[in-house]
Amino acid sequence: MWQQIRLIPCLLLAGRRWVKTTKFTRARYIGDPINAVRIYAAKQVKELMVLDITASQRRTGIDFKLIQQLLEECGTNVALCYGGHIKRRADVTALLQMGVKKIAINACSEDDIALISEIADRYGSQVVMAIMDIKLTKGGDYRVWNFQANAHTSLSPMAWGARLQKAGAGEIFLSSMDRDGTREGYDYTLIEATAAAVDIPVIAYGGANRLSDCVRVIKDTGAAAAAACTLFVYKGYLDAVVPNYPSASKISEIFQS
Amino acid sequence: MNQGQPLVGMKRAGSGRDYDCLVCVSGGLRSARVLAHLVRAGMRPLALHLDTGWNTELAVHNLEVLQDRLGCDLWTHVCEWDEYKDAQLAFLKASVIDLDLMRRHAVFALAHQIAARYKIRHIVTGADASWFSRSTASLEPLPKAGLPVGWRHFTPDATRIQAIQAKHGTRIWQSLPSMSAWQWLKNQIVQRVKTSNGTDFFGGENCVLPDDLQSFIDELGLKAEIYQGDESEFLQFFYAQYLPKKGFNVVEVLKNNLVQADQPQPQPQPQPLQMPAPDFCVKNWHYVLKKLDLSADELAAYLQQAPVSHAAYASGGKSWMLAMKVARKLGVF
Repeated sequence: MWQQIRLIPCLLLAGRRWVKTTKFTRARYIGDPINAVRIYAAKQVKELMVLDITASQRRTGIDFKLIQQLLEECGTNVALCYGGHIKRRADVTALLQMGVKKIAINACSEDDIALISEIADRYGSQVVMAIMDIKLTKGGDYRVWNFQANAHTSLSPMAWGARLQKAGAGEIFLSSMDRDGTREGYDYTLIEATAAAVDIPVIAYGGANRLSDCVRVIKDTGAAAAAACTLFVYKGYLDAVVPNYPSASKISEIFQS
Repeated sequence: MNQGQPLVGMKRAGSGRDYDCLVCVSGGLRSARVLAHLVRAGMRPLALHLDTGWNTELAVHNLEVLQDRLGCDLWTHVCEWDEYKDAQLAFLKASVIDLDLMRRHAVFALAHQIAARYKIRHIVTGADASWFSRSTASLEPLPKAGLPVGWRHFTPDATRIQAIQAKHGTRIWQSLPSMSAWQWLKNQIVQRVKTSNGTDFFGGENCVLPDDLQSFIDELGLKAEIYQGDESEFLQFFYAQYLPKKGFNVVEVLKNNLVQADQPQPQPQPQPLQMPAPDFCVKNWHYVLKKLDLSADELAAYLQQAPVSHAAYASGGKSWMLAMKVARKLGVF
């Protein structure tokens, strides 16, 4: 069973800079993404997510040259998923031709739904990963966050997740903004509710502190995979930047215990 | 040398503080050995690592292991890659021999800054050659090494880095750690930081030699370097491809340096003294091209240039000599 356990390091990029955010703000520079991907590839990571959080603010949009360089470091053993300013089908075509395995689309509007359907029809659902950023409202409800407008939408993650599934998304990347970078553990309530509402795999993100958090989120909440930034980068009390990833034997050991 | 003596002083100076000493670690075996030795001697070291954007898997693996198994805190500083890259390109264009100067200087400055922040009184340089080595400070050729003047420059001298970057670079050394002679002197007067070379605790270069090295590696689960500079892709390039092109055989240089360090002879040779295999070099070459954003022709052209002495560029050596003299007079160095 353990071969299928998916632990996904997630790299946030601000242009060509590798950063780490806390609650989606306060981006700290943590290095050069090319070297980071090279290290993760050497650590036998199977899947890697790269999210360019400033691509939509840049006039130049997607940095294809950087993605090409990252793909070279990934080689044939690491599946790269790219997200950041995916608005046109032509971009998706170009990325897939370059060798990107999955395309992550931040989905919070009808336009995004249309794009997801279009890509799913053309290339199949397996290449489409829909990102839902979830933030608690003041009233204590989970609502999808519109990253570009920097505001809440009225969409509930359960209903919207079902909608994305219907549109053709192959996976849902469920990121909890309130937990991002906090090391408080995943938001298990949110993940469990969302995973129950959809049939497609849900990837949990935000708050992982230890590998046992990943075990718990996969075993107990029905999430198909655990993604994390902090867990696979920071080490120790002083937040030392040390890219790390458990070996296959360690993963199996932890999941079996 | 009584190896217990410096440790007693270190422990005493660290009482009432969070850490007894600060140890610079690269991710290589030598610095790992120094750190482990200090931890086992009952010290509470803070490990310090400078990430220049060239770390290999081996380096980050070892750093992780050191933290987990020895239980000491690690402070990392990540250099802004664009800025560091510009400095490296400037050095390549300048065709000077010591491309590693920026890294050593940044570690030097960072160590003093972090020591000041945590009020640490002792800095232990991993196992790198001493920062204040007189032979390099006075710009003399290294005795017995048979190398020309200025092949390896005095680490604390930031003026030289700035001079090279001013001529060949496009940016300035801004967010990267740096320290001038006067800042250092002020720091010494206030903090009275003592700097020692990690290898001193083992009586010279011994830290990579002992018979129990393999058991040390196995015990902590470290990864051993195979080639010189395996903790950094750039050092691999520097030792295996850059220096030979400039007419320096690093294997010979290191051997000579060992002789120069007044080692009792004969001794078993320190282990990572091999040249990497050609296919390894090819991969490394392509990676360097990508990182530095150069075409193969451009990099080859830089390597073809005749080596230029560091002495061709401005130096803050005189300020440093003066600052060190004053510090010695005041008894703070």
